[in-house]
Amino acid sequence: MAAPIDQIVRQKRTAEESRQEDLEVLLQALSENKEALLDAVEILAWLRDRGILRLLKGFLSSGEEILRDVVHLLNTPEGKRILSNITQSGVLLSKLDLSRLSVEWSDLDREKKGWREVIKEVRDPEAVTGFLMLLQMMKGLSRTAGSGQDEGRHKAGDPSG
Amino acid sequence: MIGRCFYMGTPLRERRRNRGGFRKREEPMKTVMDFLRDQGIEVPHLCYHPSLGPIQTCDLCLVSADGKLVRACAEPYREGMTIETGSEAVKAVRMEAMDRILSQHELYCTVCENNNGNCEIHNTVKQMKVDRQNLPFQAKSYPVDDSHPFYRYDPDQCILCGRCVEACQNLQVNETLSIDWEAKTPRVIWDGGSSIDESSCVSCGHCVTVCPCNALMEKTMIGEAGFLTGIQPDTLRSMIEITKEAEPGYRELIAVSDMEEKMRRKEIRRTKTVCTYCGVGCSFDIWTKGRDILKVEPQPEAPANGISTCVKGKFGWDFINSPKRLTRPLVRRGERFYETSWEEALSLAAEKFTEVKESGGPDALGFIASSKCTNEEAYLMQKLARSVIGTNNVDNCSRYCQTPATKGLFRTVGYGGDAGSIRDIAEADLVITVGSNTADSHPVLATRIKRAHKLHGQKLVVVDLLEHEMAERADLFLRPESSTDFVWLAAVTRYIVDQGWHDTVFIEERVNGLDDYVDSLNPFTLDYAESVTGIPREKLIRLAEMLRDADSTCILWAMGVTQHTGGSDTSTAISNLLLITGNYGRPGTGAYPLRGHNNVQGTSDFGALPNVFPGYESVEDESVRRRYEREWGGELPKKAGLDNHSMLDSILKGGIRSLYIIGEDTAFSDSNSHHVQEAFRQLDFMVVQDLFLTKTARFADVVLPASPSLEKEGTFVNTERRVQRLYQAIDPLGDSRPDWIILRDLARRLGADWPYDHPGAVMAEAAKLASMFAGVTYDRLEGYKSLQWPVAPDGTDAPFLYADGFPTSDGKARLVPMPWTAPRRTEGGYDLLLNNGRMLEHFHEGNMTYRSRGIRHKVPSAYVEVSTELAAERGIRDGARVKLVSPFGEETVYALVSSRVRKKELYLSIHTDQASVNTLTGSDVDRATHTPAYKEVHVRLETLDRDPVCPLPGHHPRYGRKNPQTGVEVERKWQREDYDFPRGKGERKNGRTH
Ligand code: SF4
Ligand code: SF4
Ligand code: SF4
Ligand code: FES
Repeated sequence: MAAPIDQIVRQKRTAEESRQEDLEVLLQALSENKEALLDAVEILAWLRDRGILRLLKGFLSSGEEILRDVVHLLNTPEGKRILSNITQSGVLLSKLDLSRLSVEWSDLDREKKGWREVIKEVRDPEAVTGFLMLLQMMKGLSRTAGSGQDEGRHKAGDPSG
Repeated sequence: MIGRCFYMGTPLRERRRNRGGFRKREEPMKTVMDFLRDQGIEVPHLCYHPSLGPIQTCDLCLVSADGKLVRACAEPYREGMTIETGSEAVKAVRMEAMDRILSQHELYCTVCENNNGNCEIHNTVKQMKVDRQNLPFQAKSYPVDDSHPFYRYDPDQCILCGRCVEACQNLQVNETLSIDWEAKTPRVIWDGGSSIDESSCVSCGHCVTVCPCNALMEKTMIGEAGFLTGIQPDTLRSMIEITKEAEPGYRELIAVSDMEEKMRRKEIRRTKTVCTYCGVGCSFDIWTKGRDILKVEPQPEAPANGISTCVKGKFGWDFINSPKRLTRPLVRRGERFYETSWEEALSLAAEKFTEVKESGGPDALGFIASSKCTNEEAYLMQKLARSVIGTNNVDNCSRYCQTPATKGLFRTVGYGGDAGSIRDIAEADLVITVGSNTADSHPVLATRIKRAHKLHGQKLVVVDLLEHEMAERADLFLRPESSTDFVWLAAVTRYIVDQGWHDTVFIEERVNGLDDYVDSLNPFTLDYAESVTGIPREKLIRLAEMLRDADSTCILWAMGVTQHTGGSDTSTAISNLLLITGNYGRPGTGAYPLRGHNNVQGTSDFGALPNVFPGYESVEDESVRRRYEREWGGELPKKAGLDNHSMLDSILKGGIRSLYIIGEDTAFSDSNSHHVQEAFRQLDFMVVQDLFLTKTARFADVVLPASPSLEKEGTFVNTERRVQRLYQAIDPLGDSRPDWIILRDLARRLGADWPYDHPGAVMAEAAKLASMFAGVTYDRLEGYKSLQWPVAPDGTDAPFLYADGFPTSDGKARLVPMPWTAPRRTEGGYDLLLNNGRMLEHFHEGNMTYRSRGIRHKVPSAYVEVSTELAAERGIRDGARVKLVSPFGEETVYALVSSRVRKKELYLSIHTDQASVNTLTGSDVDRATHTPAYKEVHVRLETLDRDPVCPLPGHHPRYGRKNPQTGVEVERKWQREDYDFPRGKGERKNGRTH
């Protein structure tokens, strides 16, 4: 004779049990993704060398606020001129490289690859152009953000210089 | 005497032949675009969509044909035509057309949620190598409509292609959308100008699916789909400005956004799945980011639905992440459930099942499989019962809805499934629906009928108590007294025979039993039918004439037929009528019981029934049993087992002492809940496996947390007998597990050696044993591929049955005489009929759909519909609280005064335990199959208070005002002062191209 019941007593895990479980999950992930993680470390080092990690850190720690400031900063006639310069130099840069990069298009999604391989395999001149521009922009933004933070919010730095 | 009238008049088949033979499936007209595609030439296009056909609003597909500029999407192709696609002149007009489009759509792809590789504007800009635009972008200056819970419209991004309108008007046929071409600045409007939320929109999502850009977008995508899309609006605005500066030519913009799109692909998974909400069996890609569902994207190649969905399939998936999901096994100790490990829960279940088996024999256990689970899971459940425990006491919840239909078909034509495909229903000359609220219960299937009816001259007859949407659309709406369908069916059949309109050639060649059957119709005159059903004889004659005049007829039916004491007999009568009129074995003909839950068909097909193995082979047939014994090892029980209904009786009589129920809330969904719950209390041991702690699970000793469709692999069979694969989109939540894994692990603990490591292995075993699935393999079901049973070993399937005969010993169908079972009248002042059934927005006991905030916004609670007559008589207003009392129980619920019900009939949906129909239903069942007679409930109504709280909010679609149009009505665009046909050489001043 079983009457209907709906109270559930949850199984509580001790802090130690939870920590142990978390560790197991992490170890599992580490061993399953060894290659990817090594790639990631390489990419991180690369990003750090180029100052991009610093920029991202800045963004992430100040979140939307910084982004808004930076974007508003760039959305001024001077900012736009700077961006236009970046674009021009990016386009120029990429055009210089084009003759050496015009190999076939390869499908990025076909297999799992690290970022470096991905970048290496992007043979579409347009995508390369775009990517180089993106790098330029990020670099520029980094400096703008740096100067914005250091020297007060509304003063534009010169990301191209 | 009707026998003497047999050969009067010209036999039906003769008349059909005289009219030029049976209709062949018509091939659609070939357009210039089709021709070019065949040659591998893709002309740019934005308004054309393969599932919608030509719309002619974008002018991008212009080509020169025999020296004239024409729209390739609409221009019929003629042999010998000279077509130019690449000349400078043609390119120039296309660029002009694209310029106009881009003046209405701001390209900011990198920060746009729609930049996922399938944005058609993006792709067309790229295809045409557009680098700059000459006409500046001009905002339309209408605000974004963000009112609806599931999607939003941004007029500034809308290119007025009209795809959404075409989809809403002519595919979904909800007739909500149009383009206000006469407005100073045209835009898409809902119901002629209301907000989306307050319109008649039923949230099917067709419009969002076909929109070629981000003008219509699922809200779940917003801020989630890209790396730069979760940005506040004012920052976003600035970023768009910057993007335009930084990426001044479109080549750069497209290139940067393509990179970003490729990054998204790593983060967003697209997995093909099959909808878990109804027997139509829509399949689609589901986009997930972690456990978040970003959107459902139907694909044109989906075999049952193409690009169609309804609100549940498109938007109703929130339950997946509900905090109420069970994530760990539970065991009962005293007054509480305790979370425990799988090890403990499964061991306990195995130990107790063994104990009951040893003390009471294998038949002291009962097994109820779920018609929401996969075929493989149904197969394993019946194998567990039969081979591991040794009982045939196994059933599934199709017993509650569809078994009578299957019975009727077995009696007459031999296969317990739909005679053809949804395509046949769409192609029929005449569709008759009986006891089916198709637009609510099988929404996507209903769209095919609505479309054929609106566009292709299909005739529609609806027979139902409820005046629902299909009834409003019907050419003939018949409203019989409840439980009298058998009588009008028999009378119409008799009248047809009397008039000599029956198909004598077909019957002669392919049907047995005519004489006895015709004799059995003797009592069913039109006058008698009118007196019993209340349908005027003229209307019955009209129906007979429509059957006579139609080249092909499909009859569709659902629970309005089956859930009666004579449900199987009425189903038989439907099939008889189809046989008499020769409506089997040809395209566009046949019987279509509309299966309710997603896998009602498959769970029975794969043997979760007490009397048959997979493929409907009798457990009492020795040679069949031997085959299974050889494969499974050991002896199998020889006698058929108990069905759900008899299991409950057996519990109360001390027979069955232990139950294992998967994914079925029997305490809620079986009739006469008090009786069911009483039985559950008597059990020694009960295991329930489900997503939530359902009413049934509350009685259990062990509750096992299962995974829903998105968290596992397997197959479902839809109402067309179509086997389709689902793939795992996300991991099981917490410690929950797919049902097939739980079943396997439990069987192993019970000593069975079950090796399955993937559902594909289970299917392979079923295919080896049941000839119906002989050729079914996971490879043949890959992606959107599907197979309709019976499937021959070489993989040949059967979209259409009976073309070459019926699966009987002599290949002929049988006309089967049946008596009419009059419904039992409830004595004692229960003066109102409580009709009940589904509604569009909710599903089953509401466990899944009530977890969706958007669906709750539209339908927050239960209500009973009361006719205007009854409301006037009793002073009931919308929102009054009323008590419904039957001999079996009572429920309190809010009233909604409604024109859908008449006089002394009420309508209550079955989807919520706030007001459970089954507290009120009794224990009467269909006499042949024990399906509860849910539809034969009488109640009395007491008004509790008159302080109204309206249970259905004003933004429910039923309060909207539809705006039917022929389609996008592009001629109105062409007539605008500011429209000019793009000027190439030989230009024209308006939209006409000739
Ligand atoms: S009913 Fe609503 S969601 Fe469906 S196509 Fe029409 S407007 Fe779109
Ligand atoms: S909202 Fe409609 S008309 Fe506008 S772009 Fe989308 S599908 Fe075309
Ligand atoms: S019609 Fe049925 S299968 Fe299709 S989306 Fe709706 S509930 Fe799902
Ligand atoms: S595709 Fe032909 S006009 Fe749009």
